[in-house]
Amino acid sequence: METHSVCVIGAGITGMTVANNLARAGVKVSLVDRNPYPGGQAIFYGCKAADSCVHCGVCLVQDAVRELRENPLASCYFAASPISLQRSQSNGYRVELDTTPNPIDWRSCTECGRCRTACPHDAVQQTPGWKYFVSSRCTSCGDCVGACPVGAIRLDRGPETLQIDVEGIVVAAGFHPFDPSANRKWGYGKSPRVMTGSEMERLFSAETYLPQDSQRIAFIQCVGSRDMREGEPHCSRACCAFALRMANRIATEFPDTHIDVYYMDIQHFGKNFDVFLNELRGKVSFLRANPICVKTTGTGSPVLRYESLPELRCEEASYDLVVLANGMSPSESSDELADIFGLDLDAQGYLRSPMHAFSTAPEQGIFVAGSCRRPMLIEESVEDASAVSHMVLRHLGVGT
Amino acid sequence: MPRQSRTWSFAIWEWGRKMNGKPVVVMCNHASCTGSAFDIARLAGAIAKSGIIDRLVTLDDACHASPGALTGIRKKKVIFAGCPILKENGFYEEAARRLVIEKTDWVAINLSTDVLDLYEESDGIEQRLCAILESAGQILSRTQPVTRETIVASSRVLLYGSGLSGLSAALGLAAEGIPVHLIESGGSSVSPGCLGEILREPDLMEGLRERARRNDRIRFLGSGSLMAPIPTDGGFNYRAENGEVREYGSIVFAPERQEEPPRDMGAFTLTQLYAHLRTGKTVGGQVVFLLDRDGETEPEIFRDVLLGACRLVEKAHARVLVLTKNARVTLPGTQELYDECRELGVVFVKYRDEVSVRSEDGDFTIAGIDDHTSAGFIVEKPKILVLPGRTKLASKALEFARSLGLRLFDDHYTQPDSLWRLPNETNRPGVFAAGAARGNMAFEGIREDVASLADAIRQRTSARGIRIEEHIPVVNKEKCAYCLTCVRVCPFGAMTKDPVQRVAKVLSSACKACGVCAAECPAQAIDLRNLGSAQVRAGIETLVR
Repeated sequence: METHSVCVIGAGITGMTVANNLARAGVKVSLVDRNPYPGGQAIFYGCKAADSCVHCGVCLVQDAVRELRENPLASCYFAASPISLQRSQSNGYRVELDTTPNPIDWRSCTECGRCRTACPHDAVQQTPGWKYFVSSRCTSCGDCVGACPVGAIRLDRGPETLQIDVEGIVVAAGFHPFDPSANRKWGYGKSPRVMTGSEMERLFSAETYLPQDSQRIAFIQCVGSRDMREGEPHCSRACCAFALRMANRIATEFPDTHIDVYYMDIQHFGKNFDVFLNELRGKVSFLRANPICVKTTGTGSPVLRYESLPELRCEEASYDLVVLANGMSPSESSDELADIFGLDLDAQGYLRSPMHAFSTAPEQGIFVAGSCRRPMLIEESVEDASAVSHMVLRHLGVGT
Repeated sequence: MPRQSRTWSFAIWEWGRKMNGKPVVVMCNHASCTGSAFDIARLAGAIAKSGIIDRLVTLDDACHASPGALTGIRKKKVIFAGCPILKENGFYEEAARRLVIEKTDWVAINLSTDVLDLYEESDGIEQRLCAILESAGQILSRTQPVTRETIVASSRVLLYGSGLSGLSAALGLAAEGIPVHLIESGGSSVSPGCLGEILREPDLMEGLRERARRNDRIRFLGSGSLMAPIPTDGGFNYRAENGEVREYGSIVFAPERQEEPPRDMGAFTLTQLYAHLRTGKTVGGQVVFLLDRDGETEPEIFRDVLLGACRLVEKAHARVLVLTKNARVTLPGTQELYDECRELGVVFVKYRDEVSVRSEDGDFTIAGIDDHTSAGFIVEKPKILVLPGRTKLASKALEFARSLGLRLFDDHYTQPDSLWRLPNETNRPGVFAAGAARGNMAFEGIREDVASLADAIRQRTSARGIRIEEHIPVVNKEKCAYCLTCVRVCPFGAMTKDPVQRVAKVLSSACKACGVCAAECPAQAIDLRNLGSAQVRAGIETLVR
């Protein structure tokens, strides 16, 4: 049987789902990601279930990583990025990749963890569900090489350029969390007690996730979304979902904390939203107010200044922790990818998808999937990925 | 739920003490729902914390579970082996192969919410314990699994629904070369969520219908007979109105949703408003939309409201007021639409808590508090009051779904939560939900859904001859008393009756080999892979010793 091959750019939840789906249909997949590990942004997110599952979908990412590990048809090029694209003779493409192979060969790694213990610089790291990799802290001292019982570590691998021949390309470059440090009004970066939702997500995967003495917590919604001044006029869709689920978990596990949510509009996410919101209203106070700025006092605790709408007065409230529910921005590499793959960008910088389920299949064989297309929740990314993998298979003529 | 979990923790705790430190594998049925994962994790947590059992493996990664339950057990004691979301039927088999057969000294418990639910009513922990042990034994004894091949009988699809979702799905599948036979559902042809699409393109439905009629892969079967599709080994048999019986490989459930009528007489639903708009009549007065009154408005509905509001101002010369708690602008393009409405002069008021609606001689008075200004407002005698209602499946569609054995959540959803929106799968293998059957969907969403539906059908039909290694329940015809206990208790609807021979019959296509039938059969006429209950018990005892 003839084996087809496809290149997937981005190993986030969308890219992994496409790769797994295609592999199930017997298509070889080359998965390319900038990071030395798969999972993208969402791999660092933590479960937000309090006394019951709130359907945040974070576990889907870990499921996908596990399936990828077992996937014999996927070749992973991590810490790699595409640099050019050419038409090859056989009506396919030749993708040129710039890659820095990780010193630890993940296929041979047995996850014994000795390299991690041996490393004096704490450069060996691991992401949930994946094997060990060496981060940028590495000084090439070579301690790990000796410690590895299976000889999976080689420090002499330098950057290289690879060429892969494929018949189709799926761009699933994902998103970039909005960075509030550009605007001084959020007071982000001055105090560890002002953090973004994405940072909070990382804490949530740990057992003790709440900084000490966090009695009063404020969530500020729509940071970097629906804000013309920030150049992000659209709703990011995911930030209400994660912020309210976080607030719910904190309020359930630490009933003494006082949580205020400053919002413009609360957005609907998923089924059972009614029930979830009604329960949450009893635990958390919702304030429809316009935040002006976040200041930090001498003791490091943030003070939120906001416009209280009924009286149009400026008011202040002091908190122990301020979480900026930051929205999604297009991935930084969107421009570059659009250039390489000849894709269009929309006004905001998201990649335009050339395909639709009903329109004629794209002859070119280049597809766009997931949150580089528009802000998406995890489950929507997975759904989009399965729709796109179907389009890819149709393009390849597999299974019909 | 808490009571049930406690009992189960206790049962397993007791059993664990007998196990004397043997590693335990807890297997749970991911496909049943996230709720089961949660329960299992709580159980797992309780067991691991008790320190009785050395190691415990759940095949579900228990991420859906409470972090509280998991605290401290992630460290070594519980191994979350994890399974990808399993689309293939080989879930238990693969799991068993990896964990039980390779490490024969391990004990497995097979739990699923379905099974838990069944035993909730029965008395006595002893019985339940036996049932667990039996399940455990079944998996344990799978050292020589039976191999059988399931061939999906036909690539032909039986599709229920002739509205926007149904026709879109039919056309999408036909374009993939899949023959589709369509049962017409009647009723409203477009669900709320896509109403705006019809304004934009009034001939959309006729166009789709025409395309479907001309497509030689699509066949209309009329409005469907009363006969439910009967599951067979490789798919389903369905008798059409004209009496012809055909075999289908899969079934797609794609009916439309209908809006509930408003509780205030004289108010319009969104569907009625759109019907009014299509007539092209002017309104020449005030139109008030009251949202978020019975539950939170979904973004798809909000978009319909915005499209309707624009049309009312532009074409019907109406003044429009939208009363809502939140502007739901997550759908692509909705923010622009919202801004456009405001430019056109549509007034949005975000109200606090509740609004009161009074009706006198057909005139409404609406009073509430503006959340921005904390000031009260009163709207008197609007020409039209629009109250978008909750959307539900039509009763005929519900009947069809029930006859398929679909589990309906909230009575009107084929999938319990949005994580199920990933695949088009339902609780029955071979039955897929599409379009509005999965929840309110915009037209964009329906079009994307068609692609993932086609993917699901492809995965089912292209895997011709799925090899399944499992234990099929075997009914001993001599012993069977035809009491049909197994038919009642089977969580998967996999037991039926054979009226000619008067014995119970196993539908291997639906059977998940959970062992409930074998455990429940009063005549002990059902065995799994010819292992009797006594043998299973003996096996466990040897292991415990």
